[in-house]
Amino acid sequence: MSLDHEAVQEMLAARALHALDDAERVEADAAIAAHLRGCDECREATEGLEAVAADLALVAPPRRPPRLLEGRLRREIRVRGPRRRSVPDRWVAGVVASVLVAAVAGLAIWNAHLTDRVTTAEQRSANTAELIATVSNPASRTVPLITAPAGGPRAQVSAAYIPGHRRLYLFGYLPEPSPGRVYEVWLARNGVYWDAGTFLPDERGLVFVRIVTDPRRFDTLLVTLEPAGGAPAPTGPAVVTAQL
Amino acid sequence: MREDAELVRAFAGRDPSAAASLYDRYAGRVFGLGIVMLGNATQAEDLVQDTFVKLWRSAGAYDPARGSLDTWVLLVARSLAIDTLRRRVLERRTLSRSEEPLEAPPEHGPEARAETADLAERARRAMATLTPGQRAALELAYFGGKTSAEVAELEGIPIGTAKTRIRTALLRLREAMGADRAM
Repeated sequence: MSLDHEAVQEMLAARALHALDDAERVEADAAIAAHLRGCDECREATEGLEAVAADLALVAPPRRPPRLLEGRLRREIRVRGPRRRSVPDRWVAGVVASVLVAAVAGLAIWNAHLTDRVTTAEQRSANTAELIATVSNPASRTVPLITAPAGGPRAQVSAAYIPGHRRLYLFGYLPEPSPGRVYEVWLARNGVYWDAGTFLPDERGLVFVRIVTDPRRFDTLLVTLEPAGGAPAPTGPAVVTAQL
Repeated sequence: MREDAELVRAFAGRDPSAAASLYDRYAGRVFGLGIVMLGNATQAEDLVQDTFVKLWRSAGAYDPARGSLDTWVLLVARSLAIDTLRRRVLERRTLSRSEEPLEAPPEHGPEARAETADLAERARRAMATLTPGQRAALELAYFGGKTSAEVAELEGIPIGTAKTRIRTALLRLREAMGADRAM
């Protein structure tokens, strides 16, 4: 055990409150993972502290949101069913196609999906615009991720970022994971892994993941399959990976 | 009332009644959290929208065995609020400024379920058991989205003390809320 119990509990508490910066979190995740293997008390404390952290949100008094918000949200998530493609959507889709084809030749498959899928969701349009702004920046870097054997032949994912900007994007295509499993992104530096979050592709397998961090601080990007909810450290099979 | 897992599955499948049910239950909570954490209604609205979109997109990851729906929704909301806070590099908002006048809970819908209201009351009571130093550290970290180092700087205390206060505060809350649950 590399750290004493109290130090780990301080890390657990700070992590439950998201009170760690990126560098601290990398170190804390590694130290906590090592400590939890031999400490039942801290393993139990982890979920307990996170539950308390969620309950604390209830201290904030509920407020009535504006009436228009619900309608806006309904449109956003299309709970009323698919709608026809609007002219602006087609325009966005066209721009997406042309800019991306010109900017990133290796994304043809993703782009073909995108032009079809960008039709309705405003969120997706926003995501797409964000991605276009990144990959069309002359300083940007786009890194194709290598498909690991377990990932299967259908995986096609790239990472994009602008050096100096605290944004790293993963985009492309991944098959739907089996029930009860999610994809989890890991960033690593010198063999120490940082959990960058879990995600699921949309219903057509399209992936858009935005990670708020400076990618230059890491040397490796890895996507694994993990149980729903994610894992504290990579445990599942590698799906795609890249050297940053 | 639908089981939570069924409700989330239906929401993921774009069932309008499931979306309305979740909205009634949580929109006021998330909006209230947004007002406290972000300090303005516009960003609180965005927080509600972003939270529901994220819940919809990640509905497949919800596992009732790992925690209640309340916990999942509020963790997602708070995590998004922290992302917003940390993008405000130049802002120096104080907690006192974010404490807007209280407003009665929304009148419509069943979101003010007795169970959630009871949990909220327990959380408030538990907060009252903290020392002023612990409470300040917890509020800055939790509602202000500050890191331990930023809490230390704002409070004028060593970082080790800030970490200890956060840890002690959270453990005391866990004990206090657990004891309340047992009563």
